[in-house]
Amino acid sequence: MTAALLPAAVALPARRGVGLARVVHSEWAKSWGLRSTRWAVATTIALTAVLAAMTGFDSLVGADGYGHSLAYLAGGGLLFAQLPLLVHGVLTGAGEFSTGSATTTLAAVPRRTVALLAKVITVAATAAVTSIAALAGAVALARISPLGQDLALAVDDGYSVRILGGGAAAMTLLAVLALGVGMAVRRPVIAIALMFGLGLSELALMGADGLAQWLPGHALVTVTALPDFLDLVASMGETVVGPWASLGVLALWALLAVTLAAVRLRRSDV
Amino acid sequence: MIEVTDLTKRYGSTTAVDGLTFTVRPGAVTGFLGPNGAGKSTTMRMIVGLARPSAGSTRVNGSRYAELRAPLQEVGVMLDGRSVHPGRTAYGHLMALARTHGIGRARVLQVIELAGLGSVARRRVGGYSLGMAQRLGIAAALLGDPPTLILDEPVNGLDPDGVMWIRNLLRELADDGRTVFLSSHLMHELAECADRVVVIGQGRLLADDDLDTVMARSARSGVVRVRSTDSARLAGAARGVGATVRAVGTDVLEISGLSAEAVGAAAAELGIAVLELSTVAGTLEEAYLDLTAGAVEYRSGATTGSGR
Repeated sequence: MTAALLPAAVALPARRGVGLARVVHSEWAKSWGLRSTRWAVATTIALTAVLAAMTGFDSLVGADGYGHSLAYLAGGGLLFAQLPLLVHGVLTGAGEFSTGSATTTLAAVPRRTVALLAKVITVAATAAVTSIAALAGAVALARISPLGQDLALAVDDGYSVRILGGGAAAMTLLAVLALGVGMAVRRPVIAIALMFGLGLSELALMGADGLAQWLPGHALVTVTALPDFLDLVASMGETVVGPWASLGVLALWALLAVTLAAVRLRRSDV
Repeated sequence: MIEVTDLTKRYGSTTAVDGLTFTVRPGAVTGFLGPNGAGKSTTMRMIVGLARPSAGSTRVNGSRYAELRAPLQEVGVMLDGRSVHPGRTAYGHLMALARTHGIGRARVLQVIELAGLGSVARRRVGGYSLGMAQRLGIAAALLGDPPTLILDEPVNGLDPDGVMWIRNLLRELADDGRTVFLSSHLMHELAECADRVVVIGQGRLLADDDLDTVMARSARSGVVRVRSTDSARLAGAARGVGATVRAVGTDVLEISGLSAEAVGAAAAELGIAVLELSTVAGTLEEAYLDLTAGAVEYRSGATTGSGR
């Protein structure tokens, strides 16, 4: 052997194995190594904050129309700001298959449930952190906007916590739903179209009948609504799913999508 | 060590892999040869658990692939040079892969150097040439320092330097006692670097033997080629003792059924001057064409039946 092409391997682990923690670590690095992830996160934060700031210039309606609530104004942009996160979720799932990298991922992590679970954790963590940052930015910008002086953020008003916490939770669940759809469908364009439909269906069906409340897009709208609006909708007699329950409905949708993804991942070839 | 037992894969009514059984042993380079569509890639995908067999089983280092505790440290896999997300850098790709097994950064840098990717490791893979993508695939396969390597067409797209490099690398891996299994449609490539060959056609096993044995089995193997001053008389004499003779050009004969010694002695007896005398060794190309003659799925219609 003249040329030593193979040096003795260094830095191999003392403890062999592919545990969930290691795979999550890997997925986290994979995700942030992509430009699309950084764009999706930045766009969601910017959209939420800028929409809140722009609403803060609304002199037509005034602080009254926003229930004097800083949280309500801050959460107003989430319906649109969710879109980049939905794309991110879909691409995290479907991108593996459209680029062929699933081969590498699943050869390294043959236990498919572990591979999927690591992705769910990564996307959920990314979406949660992004949503919290987006809402914090929105609150900060809204506070210094013209309307800001007449708005308040009260923890004990019964709905500020619901709007901010529930809003972040809904965004997180929607991103996980998008991941599941992407992983199950495996084609980015089809999965994105499906997700936009599911995420925005609420707009088209709002008030039409009781159907919309069983769709995943309902949660984001109801958890970020003011009590007056919820009371009004409830008085129309069609809506039985309240804001917290609608998060549960969304969670079931996410669970269904992730389950379908798991079944496809285990059953079919890569 | 790779064990394939009665492996079958059907897609609807097509049978891609049909009852394959073979073993790939450590300490040797084993070539996996077959025409396009013969089922080579499908077989490799089943070995690493990416495709589910319709019947039969595969084992790597004694275990089912899905049951390996640390797959990257057992089997290095390169299935397709393009199985990397184009938006990732080589470094990022290898780092993410390393993290699934707790492999350190130092090993990632080591395989980057080893594969000659040092200068491009921070560039995104989407901009890589096929040769660079292949080198990245090999770097990824070596990451866990595995005792078994499965490489699908590793030579594809490499420049001559790269071809030499991988040939030496495979030899070194085999000499180190590792199992090296690589597919190729470039037969001369395998003839240069393989110790053993597994040949398949239409999903069926055609040969599983030492390279030399497979080559010797070629129909042309053992043919004696002779250039003399009187081909016609020599041909007559050879036919007279039951040999098969084929004239090549005006003064060259190819004789099968007689040894070179016998042909030389016969020529001397007849007083014919022998200008050249040699035994034709079978080549892997010929052995392969003989073996796959009945098993080629796509044969160009224009060449079928057209004599030379």
